[in-house]
Amino acid sequence: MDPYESEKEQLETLRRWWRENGKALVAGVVLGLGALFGWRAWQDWKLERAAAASGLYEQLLERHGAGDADAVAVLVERLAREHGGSAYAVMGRLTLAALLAAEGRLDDAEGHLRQALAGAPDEAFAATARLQLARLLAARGKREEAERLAGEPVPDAFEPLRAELRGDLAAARGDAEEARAAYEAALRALGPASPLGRLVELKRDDLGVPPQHADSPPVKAGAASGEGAEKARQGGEAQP
Amino acid sequence: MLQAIRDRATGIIAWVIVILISIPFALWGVHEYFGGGGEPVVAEVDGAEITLRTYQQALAAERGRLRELLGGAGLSEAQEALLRRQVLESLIEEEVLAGRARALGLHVGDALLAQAIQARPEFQREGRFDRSLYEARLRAAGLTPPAYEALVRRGMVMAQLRGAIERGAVVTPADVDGFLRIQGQRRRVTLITVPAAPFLERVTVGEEEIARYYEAHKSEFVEPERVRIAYVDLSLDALAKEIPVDGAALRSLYEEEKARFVQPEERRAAHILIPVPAKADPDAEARARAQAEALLARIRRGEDFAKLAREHSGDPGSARQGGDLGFVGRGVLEKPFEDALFAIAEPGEVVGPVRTRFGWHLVKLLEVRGGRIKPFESVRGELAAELRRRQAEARFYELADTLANVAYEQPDSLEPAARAVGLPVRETGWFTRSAGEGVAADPRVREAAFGETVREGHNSDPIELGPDRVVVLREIERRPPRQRPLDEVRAEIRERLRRRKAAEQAGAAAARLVAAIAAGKDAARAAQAVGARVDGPREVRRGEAAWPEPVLRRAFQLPRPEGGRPVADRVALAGGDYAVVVLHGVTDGDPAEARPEERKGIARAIARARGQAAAEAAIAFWRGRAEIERFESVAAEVERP
Repeated sequence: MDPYESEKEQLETLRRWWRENGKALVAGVVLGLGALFGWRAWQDWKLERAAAASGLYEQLLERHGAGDADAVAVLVERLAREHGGSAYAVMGRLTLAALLAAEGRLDDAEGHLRQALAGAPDEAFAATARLQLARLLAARGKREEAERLAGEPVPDAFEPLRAELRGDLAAARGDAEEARAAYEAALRALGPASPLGRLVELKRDDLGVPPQHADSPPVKAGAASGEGAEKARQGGEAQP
Repeated sequence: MLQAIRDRATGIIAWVIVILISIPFALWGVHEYFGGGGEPVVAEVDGAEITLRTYQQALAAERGRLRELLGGAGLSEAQEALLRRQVLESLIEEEVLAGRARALGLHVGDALLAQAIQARPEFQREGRFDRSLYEARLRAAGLTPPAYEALVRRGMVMAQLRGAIERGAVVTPADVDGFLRIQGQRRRVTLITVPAAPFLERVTVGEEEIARYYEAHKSEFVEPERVRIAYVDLSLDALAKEIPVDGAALRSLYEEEKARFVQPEERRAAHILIPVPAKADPDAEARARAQAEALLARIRRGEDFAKLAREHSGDPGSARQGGDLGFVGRGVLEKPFEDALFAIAEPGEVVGPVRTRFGWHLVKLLEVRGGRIKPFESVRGELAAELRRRQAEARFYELADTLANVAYEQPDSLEPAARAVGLPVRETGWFTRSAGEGVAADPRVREAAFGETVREGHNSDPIELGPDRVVVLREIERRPPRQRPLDEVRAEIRERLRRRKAAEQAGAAAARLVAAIAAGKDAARAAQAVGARVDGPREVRRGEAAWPEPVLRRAFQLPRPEGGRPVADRVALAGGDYAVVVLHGVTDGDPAEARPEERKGIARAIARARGQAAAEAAIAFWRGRAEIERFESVAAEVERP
């Protein structure tokens, strides 16, 4: 058999195959490359948008550092307008609300916290926004809604913060027992070494720790009066 | 044949071949996008890898910090394990935060990144960012700019995320009022102290009681295991001391490394100052300058500089010395003055006038010294020490090797190993697993002394007590833990029981006092009846240090008295004494008295405390949701130093 002839045949087969499949192949490659580059471009665009929002946010932090709440508010509105879905918008609102509250502009702060809560990108942000909003509402005299918000569940990690808030709400209501219990719960989770723990401990102590709850050292029954032993036992329960 | 290939390698076949060949090139390196390039990984957080190298670096940094804190002592096995766990967990926490920032779409753009890096003082020269300094610093730290920039970017988004939760803590005026009321509180308190000492004489402790106590607390009277060891201590410093150095070698080292011994140049200057304030009006400026130039002309005509300085210089300190400022190096004087001084070619020359912020100066160079290489004699000692160390180093590693080998090959005695390295066998006194002196002060030595190998009567493995110190040890004598018999500890137990009983009785007396006060009896009178000391009533504030801390603490914890009846409780004090704290009344702090700055400060402190707790809660929450996988076996690959 003539090798040249056979190669010619092979070439012919190849040509035929190409005629049948060539278009599909080229289309596939173009589509694949297009998808790849398109995806990259989309990623780049997203990063660019995020960088722009981040730049605004950093400007906002600078104004926050200077204590200029109005300038911060302008930047928050810009973030919300130009980067509505971005986490930066919510982060900016939380920051602004705290600044406004510190200045005593509680009604402005409330609005921003409501929007932060509505747009929270995850449960951690939602819990933060909700607890702050509840505290603010209580300060504005909207006790009922504050109690309702403070009653909503939060992730476990946020329980001590919620407990502090509930303690404050109960204390304001005049319910010392409930307040003490809430503060105790917060203290157990925070530990007295943390700054917030120290603050909560102050508030708990101010409500009064009755003598029978005080941490007396264990006293052997029989040696001391029965009352002393009783004290020691209960003390042990109060301070596990 | 080749011709045939070339003829046919056109058209479609050629294209097919080109495409086939180009595929591997196109895909080359694609795996880099999908995997970590095959580096060992100690943990994964939601698929993001923490590499062994990162872990090693973090571990080394933390270890360095600890070493500084502990004054160079080594870590015990338990401490080492704790350190490792902490470092790994903090890396994981970082990755959790970074991953969360990524998922939330946080990103820092190039402009912001550049701004942040350029603002760092470590990359600045004279207050401005210096590119070459930046690159040099990174090289020194073993980083490339892209790698460093990625790290900074990651740090920035992490700070943005954490900070957003932290700064969001709301503090209302009610919070501040409440705090001020509590913080400024004054309480009217009586402190009654019931000492234990008077009871001490009255209590009796029977034999039977002592025996019962001994039985119940037997484990407290066990003497721990003790050991005495022999050891060979090989150290570079000790070796170096014995190495003789000859003058010729020192000389040649000096010649080789002369460049290190350059003494900086210093110049002795004199000056005449015509003072002008830094921001004077042009008139005064011109007048001062003219005056300076007139003086310069007189000096040039041959008048004595020192004399003119005494008469005209506005720098009273130096004027009396004829303007002499003494020797100064570079970087001491103001820049224009220094430049003029160091530009003068010959001593005796006068230049000026030069403007500094003090005014116009005429500058005279009196003398030059330094700028030369330190003479051999003055650095001889330093060089000798260095040479000794260098020569000892090679010897040290050789001997350390020998020591390890001989001690291993002849495990039943230290003598051969000691002879092989020419060192004495030393001995320690008794020590326990938890404490020792001398070489046994090091936890690694104690660990080995109580370890398997030594217990079996063999020489220990070489223990590296530092980068240039090795110890091999073996047991001389060992005392197993021993139960101390009752007779030996009888007196000790009797004393313990007496003190305890006395404390119990003081406590009981205090409890009776509390009950009496609760029943409405007068506190002072009730106290006197039992012979207790009474202090007060008086007004105390929080943090007032006049009374023991537990007393004050309880004073501010007791519930407010109602209906004029005081509230009391007892508190145990150190040494078995008891205190009875009687609270008569509470006066809250007045928020209206606080100044606005004080209120602001308190609001900030509360916000910080709440913010920090919130950020920690958020991180704990995110951490709980992340999928974290630890590869302990990889992490264990890092060797102990």
